[in-house]
Amino acid sequence: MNIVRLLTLIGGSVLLVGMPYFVTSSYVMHIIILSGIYIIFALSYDIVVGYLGMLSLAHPAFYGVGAYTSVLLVMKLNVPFLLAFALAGPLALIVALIVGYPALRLSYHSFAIVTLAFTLMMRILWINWETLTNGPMGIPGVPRPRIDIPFLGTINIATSTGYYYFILILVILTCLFIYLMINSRVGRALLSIRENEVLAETLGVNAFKYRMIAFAIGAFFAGIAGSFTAHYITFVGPEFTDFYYITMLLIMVILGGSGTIHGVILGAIVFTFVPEYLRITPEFRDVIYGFVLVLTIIFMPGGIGGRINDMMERRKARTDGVVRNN
Amino acid sequence: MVLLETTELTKSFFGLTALDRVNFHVDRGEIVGLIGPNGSGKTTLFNCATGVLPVSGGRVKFKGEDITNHKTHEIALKGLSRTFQIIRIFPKMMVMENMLLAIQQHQGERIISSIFRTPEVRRLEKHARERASELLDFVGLTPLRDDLAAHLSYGQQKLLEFIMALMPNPEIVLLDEPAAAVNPTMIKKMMDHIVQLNKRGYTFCIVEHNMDVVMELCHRVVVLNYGEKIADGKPEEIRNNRDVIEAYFGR
Amino acid sequence: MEMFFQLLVNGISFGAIYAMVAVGLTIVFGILEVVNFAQGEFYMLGAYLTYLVILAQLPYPIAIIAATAAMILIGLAVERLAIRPLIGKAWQLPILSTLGISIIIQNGAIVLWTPNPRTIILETASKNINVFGVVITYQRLLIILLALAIFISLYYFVQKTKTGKAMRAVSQNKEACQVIGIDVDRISIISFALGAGLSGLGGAVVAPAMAIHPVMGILVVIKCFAAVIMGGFGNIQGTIYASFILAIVESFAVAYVSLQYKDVFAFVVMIIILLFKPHGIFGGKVGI
Repeated sequence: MNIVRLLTLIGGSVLLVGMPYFVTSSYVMHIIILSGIYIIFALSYDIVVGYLGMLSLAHPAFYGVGAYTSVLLVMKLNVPFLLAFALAGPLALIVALIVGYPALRLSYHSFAIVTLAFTLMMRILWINWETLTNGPMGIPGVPRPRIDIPFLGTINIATSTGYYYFILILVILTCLFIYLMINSRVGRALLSIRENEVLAETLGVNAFKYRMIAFAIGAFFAGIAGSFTAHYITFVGPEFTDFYYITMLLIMVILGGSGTIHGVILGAIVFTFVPEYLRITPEFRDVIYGFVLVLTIIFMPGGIGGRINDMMERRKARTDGVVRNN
Repeated sequence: MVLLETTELTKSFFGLTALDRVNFHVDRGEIVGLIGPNGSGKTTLFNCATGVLPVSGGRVKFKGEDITNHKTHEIALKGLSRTFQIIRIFPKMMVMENMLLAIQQHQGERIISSIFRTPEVRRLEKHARERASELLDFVGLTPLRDDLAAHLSYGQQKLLEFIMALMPNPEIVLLDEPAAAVNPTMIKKMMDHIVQLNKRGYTFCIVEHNMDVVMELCHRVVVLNYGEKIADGKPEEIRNNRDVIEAYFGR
Repeated sequence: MEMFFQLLVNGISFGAIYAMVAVGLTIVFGILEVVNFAQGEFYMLGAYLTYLVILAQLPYPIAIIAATAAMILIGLAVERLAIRPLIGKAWQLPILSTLGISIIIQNGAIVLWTPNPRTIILETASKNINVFGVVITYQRLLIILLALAIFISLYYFVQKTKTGKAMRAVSQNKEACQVIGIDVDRISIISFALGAGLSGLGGAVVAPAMAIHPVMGILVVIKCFAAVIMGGFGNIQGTIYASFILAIVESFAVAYVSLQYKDVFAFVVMIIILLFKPHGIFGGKVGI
């Protein structure tokens, strides 16, 4: 590992670990924590959209499922936070398996529509099932995370700093998992399905099985993101399935660079910070987002991450200078 | 011993009969040629045998086991590989990556363990890489292992597709027009590879239009015309068969 | 018994609306192979434009014509600018583009007209006729008759006119059409504009009968998607039948099962159908 890389790694680690000490404004800390949530959410979306190549509009639903799960477990069943949080992901995963089983057999277009319908249905369910979800008002007063470690005491996460380290750990674990997945047989199989499904099947890849896996893993991390959000803003409600999240996810993933970890992370961070500094009404901001989405798709569908990859490939090709024999 | 066989295999598309009760078999260790005029059903036969197309009638058996209408990936995992008329590789991935994608049959490998790279998985991956290197070397593609598959010449891509079909160590390989649009030198190379692999125990069934290749390479030749099998025998017998000549040249 | 027919008529009138919007969707899919996620917004714009024209003291029929014409023009623009550049590229791209357009139009509407619902008061709209105890408002009557007229015209257009036949040909085999000299680009843009116009027309005729607000498109278009899936992507007849079936089921279900979950029924029907016939009841794409 060369010296530049090493220094960047050390510097980056110091920055990440020491962030609460460098950043004094609690507002900026808040944005940073939000961007952490979005990193996980966007990466989870990229698994389905980027690596699997299917247009799923169900992600806000999984986000909501994760959120409602941990909140309801903690508030109605007095389940300890850590356990409830640990169940948010798996529950979202199970829902994804149930929805995916019929949905992933459909054509790509039908799949997009059915996932959209699913999200809307979840929303209707949460608005109307008042006894469970408290209806359109949502559930306020969600308790902050409280982790009881036997013999060692209790960790109460109630400050920016606490939440920051919590989300930092989650982001690192997520990135690690996704990185490992991409470079494993699973990632290669997904890639092969995306690039040429008939060929993949001929080589022994069970396309349906891997679709289910990708869809479920994507939902798992979306559920985690949702659960964290609920316990951070101490609120959960049907708003979690707002169409707005799809817009954000699409922009982060596409503009950031679908299929690239660094691109999506960049997209997530940029598009968490940008709206905060755009002092305009939410609707006007969304109009701009719509334009950004359309323009990105037309002019830069590979996103920024894609551009970076292109640049690195071109640099590699120039320095290789391989003589090709025919 | 019969490796692959079809019994009364029939395939119709909207009233057009592409395969008409075809009885066809390949024995272990053979190189069987499958020939016939354009549209006689050769590729359709391959597609039905590998589960790409659903059959309209009849059965397909592999190693005695009925695999009719089974899913393509299941059939592939049982030991049946194939190549395609129009080259199928992964153009946007590197040659080595293409090769590694061709191995899916890792015994007892579960998803989680493959993601977290247990020692078992790492051993299997190493094994896969070694096999891939071996095959690349066998056909002379080693210098190109890190190149994008799209950058290879047509003939090199065909070779890549060929060795990808060999990666999972199949028992039988179905080759769909391996000599099409390839220059004579490369054809000769390909034929040498097939002969050598056949000596090592691989069985082949080859769809081909290039008669020189068929006559020189194949132990036995099966001829289709309009979806029907019209001849089945040694190359010399086929060469002189009245029906075959009629099928190709008319009366 | 009267209740039964009342629900049936209500269902038919909603079915007419769904069908108009859904046929637009299915034609666009059949010819451009794009799912137009902005179709609901075209419907919404049709309603708003009608409202604005009436606000300007112009008569209702003028409003309908103006709204439809405007939507056709908007359809032309959207196809040319946001969809044409993406045809032929990865299939997700045009769809995502329409999603972006949908976001732009929806939020644009909120910005321009606020989320507060608008209503159109037309004297004739609330008048109704009474047929064997079943009450049909003039507006509902207009919707049903207009839809009938549209579908009959569409049938003749697609079956008998040169452009219509060209459209059918393109939906069956685009490459072959290019080879024999059919201007696929022209057909594409006509189809998209037609889809937008149908949707806008749907919004225009529904405007006096319900509250007009920026989000009205979503719930309608989702049912239209269900109708397109059920009826077969690109299959006009199938889509029309499916639209009516869904609307009638919805109408009865709301009365006999639950009002709260009104919007869920269409999805439930769609999912049940998809479980048994993933390609829709009437089969896959066989050309419009």
